[in-house]
Amino acid sequence: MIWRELVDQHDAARERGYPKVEMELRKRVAWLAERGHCSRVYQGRLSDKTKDKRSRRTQVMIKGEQSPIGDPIPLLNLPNVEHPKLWIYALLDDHDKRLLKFTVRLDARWAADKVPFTISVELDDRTMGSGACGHPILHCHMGVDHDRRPQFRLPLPALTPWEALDWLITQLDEAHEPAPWTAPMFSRAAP
Amino acid sequence: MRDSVNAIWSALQQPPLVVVLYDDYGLLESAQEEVASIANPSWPVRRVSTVEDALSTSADTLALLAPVDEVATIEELDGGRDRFVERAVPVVVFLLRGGAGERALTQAPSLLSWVRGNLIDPSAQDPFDPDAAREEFIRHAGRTPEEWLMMRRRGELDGSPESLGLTYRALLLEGPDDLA
Repeated sequence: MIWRELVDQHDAARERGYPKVEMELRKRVAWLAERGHCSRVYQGRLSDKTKDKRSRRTQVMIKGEQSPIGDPIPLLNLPNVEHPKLWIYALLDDHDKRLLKFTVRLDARWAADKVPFTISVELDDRTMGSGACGHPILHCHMGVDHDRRPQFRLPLPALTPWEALDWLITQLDEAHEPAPWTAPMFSRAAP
Repeated sequence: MRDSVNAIWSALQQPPLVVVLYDDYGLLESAQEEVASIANPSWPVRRVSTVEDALSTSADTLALLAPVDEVATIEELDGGRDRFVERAVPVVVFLLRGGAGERALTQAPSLLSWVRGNLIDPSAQDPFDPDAAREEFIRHAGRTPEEWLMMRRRGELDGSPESLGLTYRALLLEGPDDLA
């Protein structure tokens, strides 16, 4: 059944998503800074240095100036949206060397009509909801926010946090296209 | 909330010289990769093992210097600081923490003074006290991490960014055996 296969793929991605997660995420933040979409300081604030040796877990986040729970990255120079804020979180299990949970979330308002929206890619640390179809382990929330309708939870293929961030950035700036149709992998003979 | 990542990022903005301590030879490569990932992505990166090789890179190249002979490297740096002043991008020197190079650095007061703001010891900058973090969580959230996670499991949390951040912090502080 496709939904159970998806669960297996998501669980397999936990191992693929563990090593170098902060470096891969940092590369994307650096790309955003290079393109003028955020301050360069956020490259130096994306950190995996919150390591709890007792629980053997590591938290990856944008370290806040004051807040212990992390800050968003205010995005810049995106003419279609207002006040865009990007949150990046990952939680690593250093004992079993796997990714426990991640969230890549954008909150903003459309510039044209000021309607707020959220796009949030989330990998759950545990099964939630009634089943693998209605609440896939890796899914994307899309809606006004997390609490108001319309609110949809879309299933996603087995993406790592940085691949999810690639997808999210590409929705905002097409220049960030990690898999252009012109790449050799997509070249096909004419029919 | 400054940590070693932020300290390295700040130091990289202040050429010509940065010193990063690392714990174990096996961790040298990952320490170099981490510094490269924190650097401006437009900077070319070169890994070198001698001062001469570092100086032979262009001034806008990030030179990651892992000396074969740490003591000789410190002496050479101490005697030749003028040779680095033109660099727009720093040379990053990696020294084994507690090793001969670090000891030699403490005996080269003028070099030490020169690099002091750019001397990064990640082990000293990344402490995490789970008891203090738990107390901070309770002050911030008004409940323990376990109580917070019980609310999450009952679907009682809102979808705000604040709730999201607190959930991650609660999961960090929760022991593996507590996962239901």
